[in-house]
Amino acid sequence: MTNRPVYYLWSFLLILFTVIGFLILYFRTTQGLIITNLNNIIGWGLWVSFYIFFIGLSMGCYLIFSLGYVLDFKKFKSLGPLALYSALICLITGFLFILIDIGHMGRFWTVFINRNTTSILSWELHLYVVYLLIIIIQLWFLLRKDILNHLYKSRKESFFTKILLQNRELSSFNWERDSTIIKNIGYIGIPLAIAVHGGTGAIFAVIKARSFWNTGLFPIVFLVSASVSGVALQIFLLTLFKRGKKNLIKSLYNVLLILILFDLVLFLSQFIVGIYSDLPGQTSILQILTTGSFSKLFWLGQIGVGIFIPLLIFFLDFNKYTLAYMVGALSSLIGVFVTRMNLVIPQLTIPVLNGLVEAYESARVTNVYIPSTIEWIFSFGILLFSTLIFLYGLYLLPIFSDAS
Amino acid sequence: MNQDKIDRRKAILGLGLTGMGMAFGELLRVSLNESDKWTKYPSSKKQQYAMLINLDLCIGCNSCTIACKQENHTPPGVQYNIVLKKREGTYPQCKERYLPRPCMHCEKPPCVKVCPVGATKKRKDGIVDIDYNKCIGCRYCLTACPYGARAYDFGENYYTPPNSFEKARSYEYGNEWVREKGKSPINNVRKCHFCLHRIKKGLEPACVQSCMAQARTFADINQVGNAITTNIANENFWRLKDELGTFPSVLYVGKF
Repeated sequence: MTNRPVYYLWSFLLILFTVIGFLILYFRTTQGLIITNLNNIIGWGLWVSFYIFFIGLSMGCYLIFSLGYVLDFKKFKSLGPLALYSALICLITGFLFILIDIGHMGRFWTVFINRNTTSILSWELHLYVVYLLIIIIQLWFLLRKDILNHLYKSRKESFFTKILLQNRELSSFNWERDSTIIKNIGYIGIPLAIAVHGGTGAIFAVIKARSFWNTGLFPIVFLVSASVSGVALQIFLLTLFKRGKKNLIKSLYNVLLILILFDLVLFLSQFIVGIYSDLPGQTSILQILTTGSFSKLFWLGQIGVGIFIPLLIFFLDFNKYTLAYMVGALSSLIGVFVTRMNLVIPQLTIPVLNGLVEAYESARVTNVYIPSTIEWIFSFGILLFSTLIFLYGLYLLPIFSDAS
Repeated sequence: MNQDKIDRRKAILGLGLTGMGMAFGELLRVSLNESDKWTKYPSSKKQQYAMLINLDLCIGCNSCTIACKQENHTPPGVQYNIVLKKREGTYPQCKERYLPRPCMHCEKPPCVKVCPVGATKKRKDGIVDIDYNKCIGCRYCLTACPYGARAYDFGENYYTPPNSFEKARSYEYGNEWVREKGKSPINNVRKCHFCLHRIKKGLEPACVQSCMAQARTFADINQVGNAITTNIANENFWRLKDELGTFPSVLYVGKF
């Protein structure tokens, strides 16, 4: 925190992008979803895929944090701060994606007033808030010692210093209690994180009109592939910032591999049951995925990048190069995102009634969806914004103080 | 009494379990609530609107689609009523069959269940209602509807600037709506409402009135001697996707 010019540069960049972002957001609020290529047959598209991807990523990161700090796996304890911090940023990114996806953005807060007990989405949105609070509280207790130490040393009389130190001496704080508090909150946090992302899967699984989604396996598929992405993100970040020992990264990569294979097993289970049952609702979607309009995304993205490359890197045994692990983790991350798209969009391209698309001539009644340029611009804008916040926080907060 | 003191952990656990129990109970209550209403006639409600469509009379002219568009001033891409077509055989032995599809106004509507803000509700007279001022436009109901009856208003118009017909107010769900940028019903999900504003005046829905083959019959089936009574008593009707257990209020007669 001594490098002043770099700090000012980051602050300037962050503020600049925030201002630009809000200007674009204004454009989105005035124009509505007219700027997207969504239509009345395919109501959810790229942004919803990103939303479920990031909520899952958050849950995956949170579980890695819990491995060390709640379940007492000593080996993974050093990952804690980074994992918890990335869980927070991923959650916020997910919120941003779902925010720009709803029609009346100005009414988003009404979901906390107008509740509907039978709606999974309503429950989900409330759980998100609790989950967010739990992450923030745990992060505070995790970093409290370092932050207060730093504030005390700098001895600047600012508003924050007064509030946080409360005119107390550092020795009067009970640091030993912190890890117990983190652990106890974690007992609520772990089931909550699973509920948060299992619930995201349930949003889709409860729709009886769509037979590919409407299975009990669907939320579990979400949970497992979310864990894949969480582990992959941690490996990617650790190798990128050159933190973490090689054996730690190696064992994380083993975990990643097991999770990828488990994810594959679940997917195959759904696939085979679908083919065997020979119901049009099941076979048509598998046909779209394997030979139809989504075959490139499926074979190259989901299978090739998501499963084949990480496996290849594991079996070719690049023990000496952390770069190989980084590539494997990144490719697995991209694979999980493509999987998310393949879970959401192909099912929607099948109209619920035969002849629904042909019955009415309109550009908004079609079963073809290709994300518009503006949708991609918005997505990259949000990704850039989150990356900046992430790096900004990494610079300000003592995330890496005891990780290395 | 003093021996089993309630410590913090027990209290939190107890509260959590109570909350989960209440949530589960609520879900159970809602899902079991009068699930077999449509199997008994007449139901205990005062009013139950229903529509009977005779497919053997339908000639596929789409006048119901046009009448609906005129009545509700719907923009491009938003259609409350459509007519599905099915072709059978090859020339000269061929047939074309039609199935008009309004909103089914299900007895157990999947769209109502999923709405995160409770903007869409089942009215006591059987109509599934949308509160445009509550709807946040998340399109969950659009995805959940098994009949594709819902459409999202993207704010598009047939003409730029919109002509006087498109700017005219419509009277959906008994309220007045003018389509202006950024205001409801733009950015909302919309659907057929059995022309509620016309029913209130004692008129039939626009599609029923405009059908020249008189294929559609609209009635309050809880009134004695209504037009659909004999069909219901003889169980002479079928419902679209009945296997999903949604119990639609739109009944069909004839072959599709």
